[in-house]
Amino acid sequence: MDQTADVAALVARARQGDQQAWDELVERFLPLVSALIARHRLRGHDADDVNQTVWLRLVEHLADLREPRALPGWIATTTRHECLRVIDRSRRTLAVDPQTSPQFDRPDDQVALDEDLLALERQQALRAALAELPDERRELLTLLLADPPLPYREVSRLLGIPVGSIGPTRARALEQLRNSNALRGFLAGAPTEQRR
Amino acid sequence: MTRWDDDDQLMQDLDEALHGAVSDGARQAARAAFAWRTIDEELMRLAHDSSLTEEVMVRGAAIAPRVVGFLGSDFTLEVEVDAGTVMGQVVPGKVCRVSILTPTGTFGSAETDESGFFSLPAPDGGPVRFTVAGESAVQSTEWLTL
Repeated sequence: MDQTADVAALVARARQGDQQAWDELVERFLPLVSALIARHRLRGHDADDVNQTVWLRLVEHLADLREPRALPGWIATTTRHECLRVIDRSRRTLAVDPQTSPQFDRPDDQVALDEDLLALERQQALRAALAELPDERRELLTLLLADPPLPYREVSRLLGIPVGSIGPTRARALEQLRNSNALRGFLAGAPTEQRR
Repeated sequence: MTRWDDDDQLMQDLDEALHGAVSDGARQAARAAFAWRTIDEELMRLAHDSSLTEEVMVRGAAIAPRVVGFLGSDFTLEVEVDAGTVMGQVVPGKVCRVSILTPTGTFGSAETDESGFFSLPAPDGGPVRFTVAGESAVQSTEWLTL
């Protein structure tokens, strides 16, 4: 079954109250929602708020969703808007222009969706690339990205390597990441210009 | 030549990728949202939102309260959120009951005065929806993060 027909069938079943169909829609589109939230650098409660709101909105939207092909675009637009709302929550700003509920009908929405889907692919490729690394190198990169950041002394203690070798090991790990099948496959998938 | 020739850019993208992985908590919340499915309910649509304007996206400037408007079947609901309080008005003004709902239930409820004004405490984050209960029917807004 092709993707669009598949989504259309799931939407139809969810409309009838089929929780399993809904769960399958969640599996299908949650990676996109999570990727966009990460792309907006939202974490913790902020990330949870956006995620929950997007799915509540989709539940409401099921009944009037006439074109299942527009679903990825609708989800991406809604997620982006909710991210902006949460970002704005911490810096309220005066503004007057009315803006309506997300409609996926402007030409630039297609461009935005293409970028969103590319960000999702990029994140997936990076995670796959990380999984290809030997354990110690993967652990090093993960520890270096800890939030809040760990001092080198602590990274050194946890991995049992000298502080002085963290920098060079990081460089080698990143080089290995670049040469991984996942990243080479991702970069080979389209012209470099579109991979930026 | 790619954006990943630079070590710091690659680390930054890797950081984003690790946070972009689907979590169990996010999956549970997404599945649970289905319990809010309602059949044939006419929702009050979002008419305007100060968080989603060009000014905010471009300038991100002066501090002002968040202002949101919803369109009901025969009235509008205007809401202003500032310092933990929701102040609002049903237009045209009438006495009715306005409630704030969160995914865990009713957060607060207030009667409007004759001009349609009301005031309620705002929940500390999370998605909300408003309901307006008049003489005949109850109307709900879409969900949104305040």
